[in-house]
Amino acid sequence: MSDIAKSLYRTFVEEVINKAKYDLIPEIFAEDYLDHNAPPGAPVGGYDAIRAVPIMFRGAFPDVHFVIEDMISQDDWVATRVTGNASHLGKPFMGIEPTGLRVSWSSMGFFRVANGRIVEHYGQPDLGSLHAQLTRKIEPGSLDHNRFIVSRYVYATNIGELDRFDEYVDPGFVDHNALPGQRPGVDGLKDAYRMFSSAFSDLWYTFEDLVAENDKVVGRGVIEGKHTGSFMGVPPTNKVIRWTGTRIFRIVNQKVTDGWIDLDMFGMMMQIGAIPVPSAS
Amino acid sequence: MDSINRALQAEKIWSGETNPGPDHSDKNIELVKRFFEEVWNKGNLSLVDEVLAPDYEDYNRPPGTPRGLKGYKANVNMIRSAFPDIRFTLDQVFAENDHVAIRLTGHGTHKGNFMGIPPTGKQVSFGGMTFIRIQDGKVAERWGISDIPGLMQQLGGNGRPPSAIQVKSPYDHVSFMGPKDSKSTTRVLGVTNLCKATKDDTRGIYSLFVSTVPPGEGVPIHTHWKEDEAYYLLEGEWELYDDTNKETMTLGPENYVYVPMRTSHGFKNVGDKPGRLVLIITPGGLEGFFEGIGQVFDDPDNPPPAPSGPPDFARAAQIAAKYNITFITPEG
Repeated sequence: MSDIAKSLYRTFVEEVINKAKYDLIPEIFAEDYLDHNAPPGAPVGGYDAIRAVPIMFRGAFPDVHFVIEDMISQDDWVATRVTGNASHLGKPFMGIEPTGLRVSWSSMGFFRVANGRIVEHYGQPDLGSLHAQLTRKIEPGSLDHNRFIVSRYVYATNIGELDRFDEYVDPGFVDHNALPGQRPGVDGLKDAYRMFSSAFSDLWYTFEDLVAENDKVVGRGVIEGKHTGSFMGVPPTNKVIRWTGTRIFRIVNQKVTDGWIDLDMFGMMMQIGAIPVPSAS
Repeated sequence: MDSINRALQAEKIWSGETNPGPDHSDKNIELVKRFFEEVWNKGNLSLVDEVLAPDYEDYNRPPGTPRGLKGYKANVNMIRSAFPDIRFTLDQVFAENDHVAIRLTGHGTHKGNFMGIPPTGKQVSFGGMTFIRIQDGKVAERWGISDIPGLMQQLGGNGRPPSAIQVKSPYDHVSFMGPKDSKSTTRVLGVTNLCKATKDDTRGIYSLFVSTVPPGEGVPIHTHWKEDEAYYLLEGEWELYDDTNKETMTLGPENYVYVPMRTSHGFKNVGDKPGRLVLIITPGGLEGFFEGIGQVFDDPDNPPPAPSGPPDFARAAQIAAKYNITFITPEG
């Protein structure tokens, strides 16, 4: 019995949390699962309750990765201790907008198994420590600060508050991959964002990796949006489009001064039907 | 089920079933129960020296407490002085090999200082989980998480039951401000604005001001390209201008005015006493414009001297543009 509890929990951590395979949830949890410590406002029972927590963490921390440190079982219960490692690159967490900070926190849980499925859970994540890490002072000019600036600037584009660029982007910003006819400086950068956001609603750029070295910050990520407006002459398809992008930024005096932005325009144009998809045969 | 079977197979290899070693599980569980009863519930600190290993390591020490046994005792004293009647109930205790997992709940009355909060007399309860490793009959290592955010929330008194995830937010309680309270006090062209709500107070939805306008003063014709505006006139005699439709309205106390975005408008106090009005703008953020263009000060009763010389319309227009506002300026 205890082996089953441990292996179910291991699959939950390694597949559902670490690889976002939410479709495995019915293989691990019972339909009438109960979470005794569900976050306020979140569902307490059923598959929705199980999905809610990893989805919330992955939303705020797109590279979230849990490591199982200990499992102790007795009868049909297993007590678990894990460490979460992640970068705060996505959505706000506990009311804190993305900081770009790497964090590490502990979490513990007690799970009960019946008929080959997890049926109930008590959880205790160390949110006090996580909150303290996300609100720690970031030294201006440090690599952490450079990651912070890039995270906040991209977050401003995600929520459509381009006015916030004043805080993070140098007025003389140089776009090394400017669109034809793009105005110089931060104004041109805003134009470029507006061109995308007018064609794609709920446009969101998620960094899945963000690396800082010297005066550069390199990010790799995914852009997702619904094609509801005309884009470069292509009429709206109302499809959700997902494409990748890699961006390199230079930070001088706590402002983004240069950008080298490569987006998978080819993949995006194929999805909206502007370019034919090559046949597999 | 394939993935489960694979994991199950891996589990057997991982857990090294071949030789689990001597099992002291029952003994270890007894040790933990006795330790909590004596040390935490009765305050018998001598048992700390007996049960914790000399090189005891705690991976979740409260910030600022010393390492080892000294730190553990300091933590017990801190909790027991804040909650003298503290009782921990052990809800679950599991042991396997030399590891023990504990799920517990603390119950107590807040009678002493706790993390900067003076005694409230409140009865609280909070959850916690602890993992320990026992070596040669002594506790060698500890990992533990207590629901301190949940406990703090109970002491803060919003009456919610403790929960594992606590999100502190200005949006989960009713708040109020006094007559002269202000988040940002500014004077723009003679008009004093007390900002009662900035965009940061309202999730960006609106900003709200109470404005005082001396006789003969007002706000020149301008247009907000992104915001709707509303006035509620409290005192004074006013002229309101709709420049888009070339209309002038003469209004007084308790009149309500709605200005949709993209409509050119302005107003003037045409009476002989100071006028007052409530101004709401949505979405929020206009306070940033007032701070950029006007004088910022603290005490609404003691404004700084008004700036001398004519207003700098070019600079004002530049700041206004940032907030999607256009003015009809003397330059056109």
